[in-house]
Amino acid sequence: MVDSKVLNKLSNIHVLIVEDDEMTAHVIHQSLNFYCKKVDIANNGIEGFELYEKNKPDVVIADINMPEMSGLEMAEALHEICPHLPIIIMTSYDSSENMLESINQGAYSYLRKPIRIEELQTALLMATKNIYNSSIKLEDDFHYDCSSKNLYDGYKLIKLTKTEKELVHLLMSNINKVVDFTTIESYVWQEKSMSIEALRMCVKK
Amino acid sequence: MSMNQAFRRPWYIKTTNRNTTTITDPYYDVGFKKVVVAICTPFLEKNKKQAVVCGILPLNNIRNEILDIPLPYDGIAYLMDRHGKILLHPNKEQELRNSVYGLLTKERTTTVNNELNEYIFSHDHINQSNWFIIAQLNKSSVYEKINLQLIINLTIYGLSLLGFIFLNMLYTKKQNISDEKLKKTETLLNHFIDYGDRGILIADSKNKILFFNSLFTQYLRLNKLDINDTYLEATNNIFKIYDSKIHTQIYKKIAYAKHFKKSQEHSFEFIFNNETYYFEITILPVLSSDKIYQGLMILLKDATEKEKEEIYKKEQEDILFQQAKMADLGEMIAAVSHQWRQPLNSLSIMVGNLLQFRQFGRLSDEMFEENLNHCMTNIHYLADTIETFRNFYKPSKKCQKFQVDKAIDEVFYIISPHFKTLGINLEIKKDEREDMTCLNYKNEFQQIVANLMHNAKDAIIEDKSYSKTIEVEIKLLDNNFYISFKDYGCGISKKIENQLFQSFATTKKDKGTGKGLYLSKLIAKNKLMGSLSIRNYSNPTEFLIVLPSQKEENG
Repeated sequence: MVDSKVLNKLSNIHVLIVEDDEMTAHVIHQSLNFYCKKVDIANNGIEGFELYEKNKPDVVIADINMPEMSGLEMAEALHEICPHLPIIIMTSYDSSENMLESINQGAYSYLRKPIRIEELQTALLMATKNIYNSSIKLEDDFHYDCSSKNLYDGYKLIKLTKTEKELVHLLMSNINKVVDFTTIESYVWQEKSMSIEALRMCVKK
Repeated sequence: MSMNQAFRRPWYIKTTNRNTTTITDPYYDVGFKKVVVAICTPFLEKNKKQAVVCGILPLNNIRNEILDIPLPYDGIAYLMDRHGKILLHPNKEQELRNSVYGLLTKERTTTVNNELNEYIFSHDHINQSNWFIIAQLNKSSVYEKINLQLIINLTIYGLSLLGFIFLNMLYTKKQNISDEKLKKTETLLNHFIDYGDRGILIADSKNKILFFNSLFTQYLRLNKLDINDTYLEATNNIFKIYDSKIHTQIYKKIAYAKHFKKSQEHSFEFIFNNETYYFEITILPVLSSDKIYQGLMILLKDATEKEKEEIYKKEQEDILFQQAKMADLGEMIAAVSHQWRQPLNSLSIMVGNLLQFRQFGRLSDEMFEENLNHCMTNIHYLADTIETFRNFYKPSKKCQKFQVDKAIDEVFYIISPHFKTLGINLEIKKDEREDMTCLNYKNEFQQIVANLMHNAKDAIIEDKSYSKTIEVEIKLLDNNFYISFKDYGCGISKKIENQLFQSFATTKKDKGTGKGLYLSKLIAKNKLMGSLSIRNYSNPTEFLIVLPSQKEENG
């Protein structure tokens, strides 16, 4: 049994559920809506991808077998635009192919249906720990608060522009990883095209 | 010519005397001024002579007729009177002279051949006259011809004789060969009887045993003396190796042999030293050409190997069916579990939610009711699902009426969770005007359909580029439904075309057990009284089910 205190850690989390079975989507929504900041529902992979681009949730829960676009195909597409996005896969089709593919697509967790709600909650908590465990320690007393997306020098807040904020957030989310150029372009600048000079200027500061 | 003159004429006197048709000697007729002969016949009325009718023929006319007769061997013909005087001769000088032959003719009135000097004569008397026709042949020329003929004849005879001797020799040799053949046949026949693989017993119409070979006694574990000169009767215990039931059965067959028109074969088993043996007993009635019973022949053949093979085959088939049943069971459980996964999942979360909300003290009556209602819906769904599956997999006890297209739809529903997620769909083509009602074993039909659909699915998912549609076409023709299944998947490789419907053939390496099509075909044939066949191996892969629309219950 997951304690309500623990579940409160999810209060700042925005979740996207991608599931074609309406009843399942409904009951998961019923549970998550109780303690999460916001819960969105999509009925298939394409809808899920569109909703992600629109609402930028913190975490995605996806079924594998869905019409139009499977959960795994969607995960691949999502990770292209947002490599650090935690995705929890659930499936009623427990096969080694599905599991392997989930690993390859960098799924955060793999749940077999029928799932217990506690399992889902646990996976959700673990997947979003970087978000509610907000403070990331950096060199020279710098630290970054992920939930508020603020960068501190000691206790002093460093003021950043919106673009700078997004860039830092992206880099912080992928700490100890290399983030490639196109990812930065699509995440930080989104639809607007980014020039290499603009990025340089931004980083110099 | 005056009447008086006529009475004195020689022809008149002669004819009157003889009182019959008469030819006169030639004489010189003053009227004609030619040598003539007269042919006269008396004219009679009421047996009294009335007159003499006479015709006169010039001798020259006759000469031409006679001298024109062609004769071989340089022969000549001439006319002679009974005194030997030559009347007509090719050589005119000889005429009216006496013939050399004339004196020899003693038999005056018959045809006679005679030899004289260097001539051969042959004479013939001319009726009603004193004349003879003489044929005179040159002896030397005749004999020359005859000698030549003789030599030719002799040669021919000699050759014939040689030929005859030769043929005779040939025939004799042939006779020898066929004798040898007969002997050989007899030897072989004896070998066959003594050392063949059949026991033989021959009995006459009164069941007296005339003959039996050693194998017969050996097979039936008898002593030769036991049955020598006895009758084929139950008391003899000839078939004592069999238990009494079979024993009686065999004797019944023997008793009925008289009424058989052809041979009867039966296989009986017996146990000896804890081992089972089988003998094929053939009872062969022997009939004469007019179909009268002459006796019977009993042939015994050791069929143990054959019989054991049959049993082995049957066992294998049983195992296969058992395996298929297990596989079906596994398939059913897999399908059920798959079908249940989703509703179980939501049930689990619903109940979990109820618990959690209750714990947090946040459970509203509204939510409590809603979730419980959802739970009930799901539970009913689970119950319905398992019922559907149970009906689908249990064998039909009897024929039932069903709609062919609906039955196929049902199959698709049952396996659809599988198919939907793979994006595979079903397209049923049919003539809307046609009645799709069928009286047959529904479940068995559906199992075959399910099998074909699974195969089609497996072929389609091999590659993403394949069309994801399974085409089904239903046609009704002469009380048979022709149902074709087409898919544009990977197709069936040439290598296994021939063994497609054999047991243990599979295209799917480790995945398939190779029984699907084999059993489907078996069911189609034996239970549905229809058939299952392949129409095309790839692009599209096409299978055809023939389903009788009215299966006869006793079939």
